[in-house]
Amino acid sequence: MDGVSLVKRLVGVLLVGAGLVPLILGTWFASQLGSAGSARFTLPDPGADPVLITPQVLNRTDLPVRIEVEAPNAVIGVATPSDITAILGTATRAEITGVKVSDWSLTSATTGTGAPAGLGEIELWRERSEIKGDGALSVTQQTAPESVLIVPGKDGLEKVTLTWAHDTWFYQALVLAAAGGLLSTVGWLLVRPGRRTATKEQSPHV
Amino acid sequence: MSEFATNLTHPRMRRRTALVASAALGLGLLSGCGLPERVVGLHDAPVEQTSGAPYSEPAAADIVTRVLAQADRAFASADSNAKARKAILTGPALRAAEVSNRFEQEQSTLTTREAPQVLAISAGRGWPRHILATTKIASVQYLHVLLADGPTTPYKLWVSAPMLPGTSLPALPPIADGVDLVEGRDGVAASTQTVLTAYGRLLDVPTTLKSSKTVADDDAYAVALREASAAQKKALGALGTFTREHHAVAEDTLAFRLADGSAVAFGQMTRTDRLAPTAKAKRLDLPSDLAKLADTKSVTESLRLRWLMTTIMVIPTQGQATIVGVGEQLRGISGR
Repeated sequence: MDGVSLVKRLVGVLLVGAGLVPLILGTWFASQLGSAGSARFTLPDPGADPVLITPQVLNRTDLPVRIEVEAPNAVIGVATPSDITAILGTATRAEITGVKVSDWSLTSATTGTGAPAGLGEIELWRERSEIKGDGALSVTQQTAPESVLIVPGKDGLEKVTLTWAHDTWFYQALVLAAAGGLLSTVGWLLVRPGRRTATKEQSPHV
Repeated sequence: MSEFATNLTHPRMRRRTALVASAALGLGLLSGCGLPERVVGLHDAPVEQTSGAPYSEPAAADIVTRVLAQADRAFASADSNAKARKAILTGPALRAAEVSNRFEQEQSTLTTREAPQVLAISAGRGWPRHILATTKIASVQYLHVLLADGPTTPYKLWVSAPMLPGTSLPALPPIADGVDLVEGRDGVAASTQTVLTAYGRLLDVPTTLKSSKTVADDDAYAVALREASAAQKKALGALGTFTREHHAVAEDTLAFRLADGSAVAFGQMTRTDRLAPTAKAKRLDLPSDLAKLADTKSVTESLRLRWLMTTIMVIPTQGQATIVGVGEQLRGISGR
C-alpha cells in the first residue's frame, strides 16, 4: 500500500466516523420528534410545590409552548413575571431551569420556604385554567415576556409536560441523518479497496 | 494544455474530485443545520416593561364586572352583614355603604347589560393598584375606582359616584400606558383636600366663603343645593333657622393624572343640615317622611340630618377646579 492510499483510507475512516454520529443523531431525533416535530419535555416527579416557568424557558424561542398538567386538582395561571414573583414571595417553588434532550426531561430547582398564601384569589392572571385530572394551556409569544405558575391542590401534581412543536425540526433531523449517511458512504468508498487498483494488481498474473 | 489540466480529465481524478466534493457537501449540510441554538431559534428572553399598565383592557374589564356584581349584593345586604360589605368594599365605598338600611335610597343596580368600560389602569407593577371604569346606569354615567392592596388580594370597589348632567371627563392617557396617581398638589393647581374644603365652604349656609379661586361653584349640584337651601329657608320663614355645614373627609382621597396634566380626583365630604325652631315657633312639626326617619313627629330644639357626599372633581394644572360628580348618602337623622 502506497502513502497516498494510506492517507486516503485514513480520511475514509475519519469520514465514516464523522458521518455515523449525525446519521444516528438525525435518525434518533426524527423518530423522537415525529413528523409534527414535537419536542416534549416532562418534569419528573413534580410533587406538591407550585411549579414556576419563567420567560427564560417560555420565551426563548418564537414558538408557542403547550403546557400539559396531570393532577387531581390544580390551577395554571399566566401572568407577567414581576406579578408572579410578587405572588410567590419567598414561598417554596420548583422553578423549571431548562430541558435535557437526552431523556426529554425538564430540569428544575426548588427554592424558597413555606407555602404561598391566598393563591386561589389571585386576579393577576392574563389567562387561567383549572385542572381536574388533566388539562393544557398554550402560551404564545405575542404577550411575552410572561411566567406560568402551576398551583397544585392538596394532592399535588402528577405530571407536567412542556411541548414545543416545529415541523421543520423533523425534516432537519432527516437532513442531518442524510448528511451523516452521505459522509459515511463517501468514507466507506475511500476505505474499501478500489476495483481498478485490485485489477491492476492482478494483471501480472493474467 | 498543462499536465495538471490533463490529469483532471483522468477518470480516476474525476472520481476523487467527486468524492471530495461530496464530503465537502456533507460537511456543509451538517454545518448548515448549525448549532442547536440555530436549529431551535434560541434567543434571549425579552425584558419585561414595567412602566405601562399591568393588565390588558379585557382582563381589567373582567375584574370590574366581577367586583361590581359583588358590590351590588354588598350594598343590598342587611345592616348586620358587615362582613359581606367589607369583603368587597373599601375606602369611600365602604363608608357610603355603612349606613342603616332605612336611610338607603332606592339605588339602581351597579351592574349593567353592557360590559363596563375601563378608562384607566394605574401604571407600574407596584401595589396598591387601581382601575378606573365607567358604566351607564339608568341614563346616569357612573365612575368607579377599584383597588387591590397586594398581589394576592382581590380587587375591591373603592368608590362609585355618579357624574353630574352635562359634565365630561377630559382625556385619559392610553390604557396600555397606564395612569399615574397624583400626590397632593403635584403638578396641579390644588390638592383634592383643598378643593373639597373650599367647595364645602362655598356651599355652607350661611356661606363661609363667598368666592374661591380654587374651585368653581356653578356646577349643577351647587346650583341645585343653593336653590334647595333658599326654598328651605323660605319655608321656615320666621319660625325656624336653617344651617348647613360641610367638612372634607381627611382620609381616602385619590387623583389620577389626565392626559393634559390635570387630574380627576375623588374625595368625600360630610354635610350636616340643621333645622331649629325659633323662640317664636317653639316647635317644628316634621313632614311624614322625615318624621319616620327621625322617629319623632316634631322637634323643639333641632333636627340634624347627616349626609355623606362622594365627590368627583377635575383639578387643572392652573385655575379653578370643577366638580363633575356628586353622590349623596343620608347617614343619620336626630331630632329632639
